[in-house]
Amino acid sequence: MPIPARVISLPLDRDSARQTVSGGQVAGGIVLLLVAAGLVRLDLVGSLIGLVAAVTAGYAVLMAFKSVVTVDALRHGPIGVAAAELALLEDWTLPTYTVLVPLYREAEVLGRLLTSLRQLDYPRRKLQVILLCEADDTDTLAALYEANPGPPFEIVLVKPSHPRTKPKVCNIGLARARGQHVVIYDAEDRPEPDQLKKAVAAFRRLPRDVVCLQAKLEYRNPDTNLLTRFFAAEYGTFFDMLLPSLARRGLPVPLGGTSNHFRTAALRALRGWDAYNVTEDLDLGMWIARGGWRVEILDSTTWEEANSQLVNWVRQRSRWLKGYMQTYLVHMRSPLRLWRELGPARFFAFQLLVGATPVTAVLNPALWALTLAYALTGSPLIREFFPAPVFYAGIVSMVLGNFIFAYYLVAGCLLRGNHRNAKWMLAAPLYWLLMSVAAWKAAVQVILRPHYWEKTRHGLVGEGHREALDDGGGGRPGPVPGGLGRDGVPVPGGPPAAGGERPAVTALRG
Amino acid sequence: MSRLDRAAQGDVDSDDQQPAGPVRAPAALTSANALPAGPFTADPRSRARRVGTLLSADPGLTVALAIALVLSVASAAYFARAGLTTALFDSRSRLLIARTVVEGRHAGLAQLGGIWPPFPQVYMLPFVWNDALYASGIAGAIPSAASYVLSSVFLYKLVSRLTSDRFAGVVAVVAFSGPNVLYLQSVPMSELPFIACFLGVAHFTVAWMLRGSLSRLVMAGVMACLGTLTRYEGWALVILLIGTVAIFSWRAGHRREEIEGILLLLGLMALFGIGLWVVWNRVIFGDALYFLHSQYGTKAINSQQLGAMTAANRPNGNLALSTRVFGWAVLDNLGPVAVALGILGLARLALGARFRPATATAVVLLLFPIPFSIAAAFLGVEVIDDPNASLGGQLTNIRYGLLVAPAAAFLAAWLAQGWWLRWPVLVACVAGSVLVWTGGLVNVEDTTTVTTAPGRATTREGTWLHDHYGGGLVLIQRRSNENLLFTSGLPLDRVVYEGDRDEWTADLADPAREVRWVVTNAGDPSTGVPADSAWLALHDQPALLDHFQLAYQDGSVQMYRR
Repeated sequence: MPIPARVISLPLDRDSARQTVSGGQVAGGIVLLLVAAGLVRLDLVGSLIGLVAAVTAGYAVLMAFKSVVTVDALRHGPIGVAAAELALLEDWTLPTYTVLVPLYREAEVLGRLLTSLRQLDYPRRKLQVILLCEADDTDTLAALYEANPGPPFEIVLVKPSHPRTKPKVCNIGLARARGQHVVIYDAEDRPEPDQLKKAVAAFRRLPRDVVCLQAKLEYRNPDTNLLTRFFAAEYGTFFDMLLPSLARRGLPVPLGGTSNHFRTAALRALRGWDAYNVTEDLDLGMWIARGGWRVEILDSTTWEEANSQLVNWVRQRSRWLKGYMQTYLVHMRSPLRLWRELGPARFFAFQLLVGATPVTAVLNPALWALTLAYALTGSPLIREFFPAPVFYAGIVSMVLGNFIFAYYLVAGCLLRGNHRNAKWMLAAPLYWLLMSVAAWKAAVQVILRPHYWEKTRHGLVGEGHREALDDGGGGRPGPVPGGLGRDGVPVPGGPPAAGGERPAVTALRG
Repeated sequence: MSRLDRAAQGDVDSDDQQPAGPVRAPAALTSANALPAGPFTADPRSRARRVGTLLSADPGLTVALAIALVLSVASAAYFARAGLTTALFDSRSRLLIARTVVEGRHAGLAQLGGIWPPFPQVYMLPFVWNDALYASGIAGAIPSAASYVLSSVFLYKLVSRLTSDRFAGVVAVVAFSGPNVLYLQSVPMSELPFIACFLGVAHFTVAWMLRGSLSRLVMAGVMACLGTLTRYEGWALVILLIGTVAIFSWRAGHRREEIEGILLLLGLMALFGIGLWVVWNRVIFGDALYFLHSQYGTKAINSQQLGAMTAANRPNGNLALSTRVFGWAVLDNLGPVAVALGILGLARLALGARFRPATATAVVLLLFPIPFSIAAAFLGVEVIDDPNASLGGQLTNIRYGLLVAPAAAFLAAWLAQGWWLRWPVLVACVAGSVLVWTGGLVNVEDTTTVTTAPGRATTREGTWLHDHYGGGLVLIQRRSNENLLFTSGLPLDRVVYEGDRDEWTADLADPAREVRWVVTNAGDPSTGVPADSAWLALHDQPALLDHFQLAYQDGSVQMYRR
């Protein structure tokens, strides 16, 4: 069988974030600056008007793109695997599965992690769990040796070396993987026990060009504080709406960093993760698309801990946004090649998903300040930069954009059963402001410390939240007693609803 | 050899179900056929397939759709041939508004203005740029006709879902398609787009109640949002919708935080249109409530219309008269048979055993125009008059009664459930429509009372200007002179009107600076038509008389030429 040329060429010259910008990009940047300086010298006001118009148009296009793609989730959800389909899977038919778990300073959460991994419903002899631990992380190592997990757990010591990143460690794990499928979990993850089997069933059913399944990530502590409320709603929008829609449209899918299930052969063909990219997941998602392969979203949940401390959140988010910047620069080293490999639609989707995300987060404070200043002063100086069409387009973008994205957050809350948090989403601009803080930090870091991995602290929330989850109650979106579960399936044990009708409160599709 | 090459040759693990045997590479690595389809390629086909599947799975829907399509095209063609497409006074205004968005001295979305909710005019934009479609009024009839077809689909699905009787769904469409509905679906007005919106609200709300899908609730919110941007009745509909959903959720046993979330999801979307309209008024006109209390706002127009009526005919402050007037408006629009079938249907519904919360919700939402319109007439926010309701009354906004057509059709269909009643009800519906048709369409009659009212420019002046124009800019207030402006066929970029704001103000102060024609209208207090701004600013003023000569005068209209 002939192999598509672009797939063959993929592993041979995959770019890395080891070098943040290429020589060509530096030259291009200098030319751009010179052109801008020339324009400013020629006509300062005209240049600024042009800049404002371009930014406004960009925002309008971004808003339209995200709206259209996200609203498509009304029709398409993640790939589901029915219980009956799972029941048909016989153990002897299951392939070997490798679970990679990078650990760094995770002594506090190790016990719960091992419990979660032991709860995975998969034949032990076909399971390989590789715990990847930095050799100088004595606390975690001590906890590991004390726990002495035994088979199918394997402990791999990673020699401290530059870059000290998760993807580097994962690549070491990938080299030792024996499984036909490989999945990566973080230390604080609590995957649903049947997730591996669901992934196997889905892989078998889906076309072979689907080389990765992204399980849905969900926070187990959405109610800790305002930050976690927003974070949880954002995840709801991302994993329940945006990603399934991107996947169904064949657009590049930014992977979620954990609970990515791969066909091992394909992952090796892609040469694993970029050790220098601090959002190796996003980068890998783009390379999958460039290889002509696809990602699908699996309807199985991995519970995580939402970052509940402001400083810790900014650290984590700044790393993510720095990774977006790195990834954009890596893939835009040869825009023509990118265009050729992705095609026009996916090329533009890449620009809007990867390029526009950090750019808008950086620009937002300036635009808010400008709007506020104009509203308060009505300054003719500001008005000069906004000719009527730009002004109206800007107003429409601002009003519609803010509404739509806040509305999606509300939908994200309801989709995940966090109804009580929906009202907080009206304060979403506060969250976006925080994102801009992180974006500015990321912008500085991408220049000064591009490969520095801002470690996210886990275990900030007590395990009491976990217990609540296990109970299906407490702070978590458990089924409504006597009502309907997430999929509109009746939950026994409660009184019948009035009039025999009771709408599900979480199922979006139907 | 690259890893991929090796993979292609089988040097990888397999995902096969067999525990042993030769290993195979994933097909994606070996077969070009396994490559994904390009982005955006599958959707249109799958959409067409979905529609096909939907129609073949529901023959009743196919029949209902076929009836609606045939009636829509046939009636639009008939009324166009009869010269009635742009006969309603407001239809010309709406066409002019839409046209000035694409053609004019300051073309752009701001020309949508701040008085009428903009959706019907926005809906016309894809067609109104075309001269022939604009001049014939077809540009505005297309959205109305499309709304009628969509309304029929919503009505069919609503009835068939609640009754599990497809024949009843078809009866509903037939009952809905009375002659006055068919006339209003053939003209550039807002009634049918609004009916489509509020039938959409009822359809999606009921679907949410029965199927529990949040997407249906979001769609109910979207339809309500469009309703608020179509007619001001939509604002009351939103409040009713939110209240209904709140009560239903509470009665269904949802917890407080669940109800809160549901209402937020629905309310944010449903109320967004109102917020948008308020912001629009603030940004464009500098006053968030411009639509309410501007010179041409609803408040001013209503007081002018009420002022022109005799005290005995004024429904505001008189609940009995308000009820009587609206009752006659409904009767005139739907005819006695449809009203009787509706009442019988309501009786059967109230006495029947199959009364469910979703059914009650549908009825409440569909019947909402009745209490709303009576209250609006009583409070003076809407002006309706009917010669049958009071001595000396004349047809004014009689078409508001048409908003009850969906409720009457729904109730007639409810009555038609069961084999022994379905055919008699269907025949009665058709007979009722024939009766209305032979008696004359009240909305066609309404066209003549408004468009020829003293104080308004008529098509006669428009024809004269068309024949004598000869170029140059024309200064004319659009309000009160819509007939003249539309009939004259002037290119709108040669017209300076109140929407041109700064230019309009400057030309009113000194018309000789650029315009060749000035049109003034003294209005007529007896019909509630005020003098226009051009007349108020320039009548007997040297700025006009020193440079322009009176070229035409008829009734209240004067045209000056330089």
